[in-house]
Amino acid sequence: MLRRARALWNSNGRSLGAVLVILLLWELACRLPPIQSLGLPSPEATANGLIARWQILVSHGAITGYETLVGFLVALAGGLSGAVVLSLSPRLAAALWPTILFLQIMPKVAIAPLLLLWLGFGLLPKVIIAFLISFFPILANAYAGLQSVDEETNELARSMHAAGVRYFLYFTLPQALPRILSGARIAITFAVVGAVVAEFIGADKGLGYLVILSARNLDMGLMLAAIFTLTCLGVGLYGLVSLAEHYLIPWHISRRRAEMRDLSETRATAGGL
Amino acid sequence: MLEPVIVPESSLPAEQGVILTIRDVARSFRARSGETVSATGKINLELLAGEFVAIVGASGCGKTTLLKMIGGLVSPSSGEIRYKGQIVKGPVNDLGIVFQRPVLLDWLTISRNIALQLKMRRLSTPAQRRMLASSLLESVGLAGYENRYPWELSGGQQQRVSLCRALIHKPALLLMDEPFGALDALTREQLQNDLERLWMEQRPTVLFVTHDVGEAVTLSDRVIVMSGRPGVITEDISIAVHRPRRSGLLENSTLQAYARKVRAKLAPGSDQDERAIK
Amino acid sequence: MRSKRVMADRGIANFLYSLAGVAGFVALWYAVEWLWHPPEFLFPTPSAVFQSTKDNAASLIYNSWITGYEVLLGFLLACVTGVGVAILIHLWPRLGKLLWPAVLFAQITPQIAFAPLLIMWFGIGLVSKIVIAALIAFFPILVNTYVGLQAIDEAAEDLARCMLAGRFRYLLEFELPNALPHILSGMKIAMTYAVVGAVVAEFISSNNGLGNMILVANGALDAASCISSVILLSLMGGALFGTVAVFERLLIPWHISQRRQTVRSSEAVGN
Repeated sequence: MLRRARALWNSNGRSLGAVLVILLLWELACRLPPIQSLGLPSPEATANGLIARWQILVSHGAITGYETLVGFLVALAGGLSGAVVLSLSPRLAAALWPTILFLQIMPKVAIAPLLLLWLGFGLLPKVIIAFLISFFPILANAYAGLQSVDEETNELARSMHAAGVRYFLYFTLPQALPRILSGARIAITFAVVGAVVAEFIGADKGLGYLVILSARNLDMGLMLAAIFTLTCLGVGLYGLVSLAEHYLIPWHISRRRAEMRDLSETRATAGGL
Repeated sequence: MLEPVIVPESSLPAEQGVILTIRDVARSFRARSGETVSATGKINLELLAGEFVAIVGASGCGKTTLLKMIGGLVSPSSGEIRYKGQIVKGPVNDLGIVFQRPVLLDWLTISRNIALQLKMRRLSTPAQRRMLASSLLESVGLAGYENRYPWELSGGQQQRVSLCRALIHKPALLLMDEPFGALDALTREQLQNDLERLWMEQRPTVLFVTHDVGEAVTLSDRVIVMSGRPGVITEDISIAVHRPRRSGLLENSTLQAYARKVRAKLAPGSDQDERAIK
Repeated sequence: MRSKRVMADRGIANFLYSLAGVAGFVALWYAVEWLWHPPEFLFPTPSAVFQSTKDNAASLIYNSWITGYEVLLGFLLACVTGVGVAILIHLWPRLGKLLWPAVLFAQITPQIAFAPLLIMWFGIGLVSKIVIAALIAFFPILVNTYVGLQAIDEAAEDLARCMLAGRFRYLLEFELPNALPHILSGMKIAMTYAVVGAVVAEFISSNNGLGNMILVANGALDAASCISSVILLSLMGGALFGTVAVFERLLIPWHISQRRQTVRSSEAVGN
């Protein structure tokens, strides 16, 4: 654990330093009149605002977090099962392919207003948007992962008389897992976006709602505080999935560390937003 | 152990003089842990122009590092290397290099891949380059492949293309780092023959790194044995067998004798001797 | 090797299945209508949507043009800055070491959260939409370009140096062509993101564009118009994505993703 923290520091420490320098410059710049007229609060003011309103931020943050997580988890379950079904039945895959393709190119956020019309202001439409937007990356990546079992592993399994569920559990799934988790990482960032956008359009709770509210009231402090919290939420949730990766596929992680880490991130199918 | 006295019949006399002097050269680097690691020990060597020299050694003895230092791709930590009298500070002018991987550029046709060597050096016109590339392709049996792409060729064919690319500008120095190591035995033999033939036409000085003793003995005028970790030169054996040696190792007992001699030098026993001396 | 006829049969079968799937979807749509009789303004039939599209054709085209313009310009801005910054941090590794972790961090954050702020700064007009679209599209391009530039065979550098190529020639003749597949792949993702960025920006505050049309239709309880706008938006997004895919085909025909045959011709002929 400590070793990993150390490694993180070695690779990111300098960058963190750079960011701190920028914050310092920002703070100093805010002392100058021309900058002040822009209405952008200094880091100090933002930090004060954050501390002062932490209760609001946490409670609204919990709402957004809830929407995101529930949507994501349902998408995870649905996407995985969908991928399994599709890889088992090529006919069904062929039949559903145009629909899936269309839904992939459709910007899911575009139907947010419609969902709000149908389901009102509550949490449900946000959850559904988060679900819809994170479903496709998981589906696409899980499907690709399940299809990508290589031939020789196949033959090995057959030579061991592994069949059915055992074959799936011991051979197919572990091979597909890296791809699935790649999709999950993308999906969770999408889910946050979905929830936030839904809150932008119509909500009375949540961090997205706070951002819009503070914009209307020209409360820059609250706005930046809300944006900051949103950033933390997004990064935190991503970190959770990353952590899951470390536990589920440590073998792949250590191999991937030797290569460019985010090569797989960018290569994994975005599955449309 | 036989000491054959067959005079090389087909060789042109190696062009006068020493082309490469390596004096007290060693290479070490700082590992991530902070300690200094030696890639090679002290190396002293002289190469004559037009010689075909093989460097044999086990993995990790530093022969690739030595090759790169000679080519000017890596600078020595100590000592000096002189090429044609001048100290080597970077890749020398008329250098050709072949790696174990073909390293062909996927987006260029075979012809353009070969001609890239000339294009980078701003030599010849495009038309001339095309012609030269074509004739080289023909000489390695790949006539007609000009407009194919690397992925359409097998490993052996790609390596042939790589060889053409390394020779198209008629370099005085040709470096080869285990070029046939990734190929199957049959393809390897074919390529060894092709290499010998092309070399006899152009007569560059060749430095051929390999861990395959048979290959080294079959191809070269001189076999340098490196052993130990970090490696030093422990033997310098001249191969006095006439060329072309197309029949290869299997049918030539003289070459086999040389091979035995080289292998003896590579055996673990001699490693320990060298370490004791140091 | 399967006979060509069997392969063709499979292709036809797949096509028929796809057709059946689409028909099934439309049938499902009508079924919902028939089973629950939802009010027309909330859940329109396919024919209602079609009618609405016909009625609003002019408006739809105009607004598509606006949104398309925002998306395209945002995308182009993201391309120029993304590729530019990537090349910069690639050429200066010290700068790269400083910035890359920050880039990865920024990539994970929900950049869309900044949209209301950007609209405050840049106003309601087209500029803010373009900026927001560019912001979101920037990261996939930057990351993919940088990764692509780094992902070159290490031996290629030695090769280039032996060929006496200088730093810029190496970049131009080796690194960039090699990175092109990655760059184009990132651009495809970026295009999708740009569409989202533009739409969301229009949702937040706008007077025109398809996003605005959707909101207005929503407010007017005109679900048919809403749905037709969504469909048009999807088609536009798909067309833009397809355009980048076409560029891919043109620019990198040599890449494995663009090839059809995987069997090397020489294997058939012999070594």
